[in-house]
Amino acid sequence: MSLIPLCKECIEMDLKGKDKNEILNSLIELISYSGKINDIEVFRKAIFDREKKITTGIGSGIAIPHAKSDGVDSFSLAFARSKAGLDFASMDNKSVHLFFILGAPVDHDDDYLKGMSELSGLLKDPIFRNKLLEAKSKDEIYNLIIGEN
Amino acid sequence: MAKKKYPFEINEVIVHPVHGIVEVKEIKEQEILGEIKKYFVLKPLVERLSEVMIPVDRIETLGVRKVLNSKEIIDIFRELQKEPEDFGKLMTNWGTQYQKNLNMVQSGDISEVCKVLKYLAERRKKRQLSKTDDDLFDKAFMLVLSEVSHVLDLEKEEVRIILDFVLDSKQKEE
Repeated sequence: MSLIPLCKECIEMDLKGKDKNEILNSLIELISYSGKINDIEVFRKAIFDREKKITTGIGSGIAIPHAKSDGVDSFSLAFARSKAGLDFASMDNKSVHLFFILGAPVDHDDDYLKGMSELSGLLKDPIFRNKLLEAKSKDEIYNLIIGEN
Repeated sequence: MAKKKYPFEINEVIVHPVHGIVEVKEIKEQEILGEIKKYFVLKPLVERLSEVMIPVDRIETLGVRKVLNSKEIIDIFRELQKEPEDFGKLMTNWGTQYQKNLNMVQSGDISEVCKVLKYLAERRKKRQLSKTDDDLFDKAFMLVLSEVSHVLDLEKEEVRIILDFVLDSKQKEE
């Protein structure tokens, strides 16, 4: 069973953003549709603090901003895509096309790390990444991510 | 009289080329094999060893060094994103290649450690590594993971996931 807690409301097919801050703020708003963010400002601070340590743009067109925060009730996730690619100051200096934002309560460990591990495992596969990039609908994306396991 | 200046201070966290992140616990004189010398007493923070002692006068030549700064850590990830050097083709003898890789991993130079890590990650995808190469991969991985985790104050498991992705996704793009 997948540990990735994605809901269809938390999928954005055409993410916009002129810089990293704008992108992160859009992703934070998107994950709030999960209903699991109890304090968006507390969560926003956690996401930006984590990003300051090192970019979560991990290369191959992927970014996974994430943070544990008191502003989150339970493990949640949102997905956004940009076919054109956005500048996220990634490790490989390339544009990012696929964004996953993850949030979890501070005392929450197991599912959060297992979920992140499961996600990064899926994203290693260039065929899977391409399917996400080419998907025509939110349903298709949802089924790709959740149904892959 | 001026206090003797040592390259590392008590309680400082530094990097040992074999044991990774260690903390300087004390500097003490000890007689070993009939010779009294000053030693750094180091406590490994990752490996389950009680302590490691290194003569003060040899600490830098043995590759013990200060931890990287944040910018240097980002450089590591940039380095890991690049294609691995194909230095494996240069040597046909496995033992010679292994010794070279081992020396690089234990050099204390993180960029040398990364070269071996990338090289073995690449080979591991094509065929199963021998037990000794597999152990060397784990060692190199641990050295990078522990330093990144310490410097950036990130959970080890989080760094493991990122490193794993960086090493594997690159390979699969070919």
